[in-house]
Amino acid sequence: MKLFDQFFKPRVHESVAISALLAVSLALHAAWLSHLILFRVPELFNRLFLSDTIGPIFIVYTLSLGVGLGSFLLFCFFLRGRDCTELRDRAFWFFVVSLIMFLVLTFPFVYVFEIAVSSV
Amino acid sequence: MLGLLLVASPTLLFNLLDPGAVIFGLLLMLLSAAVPLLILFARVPQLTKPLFWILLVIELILVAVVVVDFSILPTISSNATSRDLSILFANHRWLLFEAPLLLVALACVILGIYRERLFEAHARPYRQAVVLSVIVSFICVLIVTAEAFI
Repeated sequence: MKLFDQFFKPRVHESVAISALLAVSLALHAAWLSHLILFRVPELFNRLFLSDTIGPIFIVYTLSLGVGLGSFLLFCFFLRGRDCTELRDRAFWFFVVSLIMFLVLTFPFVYVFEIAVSSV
Repeated sequence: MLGLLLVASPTLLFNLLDPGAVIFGLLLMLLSAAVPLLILFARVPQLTKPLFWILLVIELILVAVVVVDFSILPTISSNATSRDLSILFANHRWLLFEAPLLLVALACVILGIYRERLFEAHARPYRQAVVLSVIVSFICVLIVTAEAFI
């Protein structure tokens, strides 16, 4: 009977978990990157300014959530039914690196930092 | 200074009427409840279910905080003259607040999929991801709270 129990064990959809892990990592990258671009390139910021009351941060939220949701659906589609054993650790470390990069690169004194070259 | 509880005309009711303050207080309380559960659930796998529901409520509250703050947010200008410290910290708070939104959703998805099987040997990276997500979310919310006083 134990042999049959193995067949009736509830399945774990690992591909969905790994897709979520990768999608959140990409969304974190999209967040710090879009914020940095908006801060450094005001021309682009003026074009993308959606609402006076909400401000620029709404664009960052929309972009990163869009990237997260889109990549989650894409990864779910491509990884469905596949063996994710090799991806597991890599996805986790990608997530850790993304999290560290997000926390460091959204710190005000980091993204504001610039080196001005003055001509003598 | 007006008193909250013990004076003749306390102001506690007025503070409680502010939806933003109530929701944020609730968020802090639930995150504070989730962290001990997270520490305990390594020993008691049955705690996975309550942790999942708490995280789901936290996610809904995070969305509520964003909706409330977006609806009453003053304009954050990005022109050169207004790039002072408070604007920088306001931007930082908004960015930091996005991390818990994503991380708690991730923890919910992983817990919803794995449940008690999160403690199997192969699920170690997912278990670590859940722990990391909840702890970083808690720290981010604490930093947002601290920076809100600046």
